[in-house]
Amino acid sequence: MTIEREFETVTMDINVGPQHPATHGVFRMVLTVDGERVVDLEPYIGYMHRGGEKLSENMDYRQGIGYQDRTCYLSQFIAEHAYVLAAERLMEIQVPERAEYIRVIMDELNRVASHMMFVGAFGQDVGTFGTAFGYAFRERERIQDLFEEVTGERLMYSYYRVGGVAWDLPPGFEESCRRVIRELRQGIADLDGLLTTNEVFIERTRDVGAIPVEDAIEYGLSGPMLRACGVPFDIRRAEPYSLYDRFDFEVPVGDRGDVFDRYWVRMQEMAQSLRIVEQALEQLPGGPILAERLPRMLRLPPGEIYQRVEDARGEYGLYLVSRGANKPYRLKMRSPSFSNLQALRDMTVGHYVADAVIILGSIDIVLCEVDR
Amino acid sequence: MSEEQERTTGGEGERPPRRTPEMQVTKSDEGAAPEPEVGGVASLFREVLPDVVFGAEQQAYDVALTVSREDLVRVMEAARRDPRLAFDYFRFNSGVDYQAEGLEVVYGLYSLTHKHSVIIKVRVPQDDAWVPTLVHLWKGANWHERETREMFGIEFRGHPDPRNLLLDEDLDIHPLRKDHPLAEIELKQGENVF
Repeated sequence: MTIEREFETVTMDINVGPQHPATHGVFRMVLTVDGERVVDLEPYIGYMHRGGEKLSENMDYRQGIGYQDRTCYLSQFIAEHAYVLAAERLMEIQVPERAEYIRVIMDELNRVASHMMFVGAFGQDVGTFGTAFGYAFRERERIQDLFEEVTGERLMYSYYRVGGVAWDLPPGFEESCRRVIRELRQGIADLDGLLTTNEVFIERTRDVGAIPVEDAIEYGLSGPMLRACGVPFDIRRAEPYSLYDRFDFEVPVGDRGDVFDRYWVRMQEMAQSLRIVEQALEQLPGGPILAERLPRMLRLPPGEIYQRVEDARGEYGLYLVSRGANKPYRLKMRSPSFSNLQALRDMTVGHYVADAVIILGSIDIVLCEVDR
Repeated sequence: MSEEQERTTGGEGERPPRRTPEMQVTKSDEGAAPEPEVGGVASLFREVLPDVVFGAEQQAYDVALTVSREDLVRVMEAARRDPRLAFDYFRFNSGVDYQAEGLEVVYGLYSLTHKHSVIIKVRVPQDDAWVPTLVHLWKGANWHERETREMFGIEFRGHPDPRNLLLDEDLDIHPLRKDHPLAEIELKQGENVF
């Protein structure tokens, strides 16, 4: 009796990272592959764990702002914003209008800078090598120059304060900001022409790494990852904070939830962010930039607050417990990439090894923020 | 232009008058009034689960409900599956160490269907620190529970994969507990110091 035997394959484990150009930071994953197909994936995080939550419990409310820069080194302003908003809300401080407008301008420019970083790095992942990276970084650099002009820093800004911002905008900021917006619009159009309609780019990203919308919600995906699935969930719109109820902007959504949609949503968001910056510049009032009569040592009244903001990557939330001291009793940071990265296995299994890198890139992870 | 000015002044008028720092500190009297009339979500929960005892308080943005460990799975199942609540989006899960007053597990949920949110809290004693897992309800709870487990030493009973997530695989310390020192050597030649 003869038995027809099928061609047998053996699965193989491949370790990627923790130091690997494709992992965008210190991240390790073990891929189990059957030929070219990924059959299992196990992510390992924690290489960048610095105990940020414990450190924040031991810093007073002014020092804590500086730590927020270090949770996500690509959307520092937005993280700072969450922290100062939480403190202001608990203390019931009223922030001068001008300060809030400045914050919105900074937040939105920060979002554009972060998405530019994504587009550049993602183009690299897909295989356009230096081209997209160079163009995106040229645009990002314009924003970096603005930030440097305002804060004196290029990475760790520490510009927001509880009650306002540290100092006023430099003279001539509005003109240079308007010029940067014009240049960025051109830059976005360039990148659009380079990638969005690029046949190779579309072939490599369409229908890759799609996640069903129910799963996306259950995993707690947020930001462009969730909006790519067609869910128009944006904290700026769903639970408006700061001044976001005053601006006219759209929340772009995708329909297939694949890698291309995530890219596309981010490209659209940049245009929307620039619209918000323009409106904010238009409405920017004069006046003070820091609330008056703040105590030298900030003490928050006892209470708990879950302050969330729309980060460039999704929902960034701070669960702050105060017991009346000058330091938070507990500060939980809910970082968007942490939840987004959980879905990596579901998104990757069944795809080619070469696509695993693209799918990972499409999450736009910042490991600093995943591990805290 | 005039419309714009109107909007700006309108926003200002809505805000409460500024308070002096002395006045701010007298805000909180939570705990003193155990049954305040708080937001729609609390009454929704009471309507769905009339026999469960909820403690409710209003936070800055959310209603925070306190439930007992025994009721947690029932409450969460209702929160997930009952169409009136429909909390489909798992925001976060974490812990707070109140030392002698026990450990608190905090869950943040949001409903994309009804656009409402809730914070759910469970208090467990330090020497009997466990809560049932919720991974079967939200896949997203998986890593959050793993992180809370290693950071606070709270066991999530029934968790499919209770390994360390951020810390070293073989490290058995709980750094976010208040009795854990901020900066000292935790491991000496493979032996835990704490």
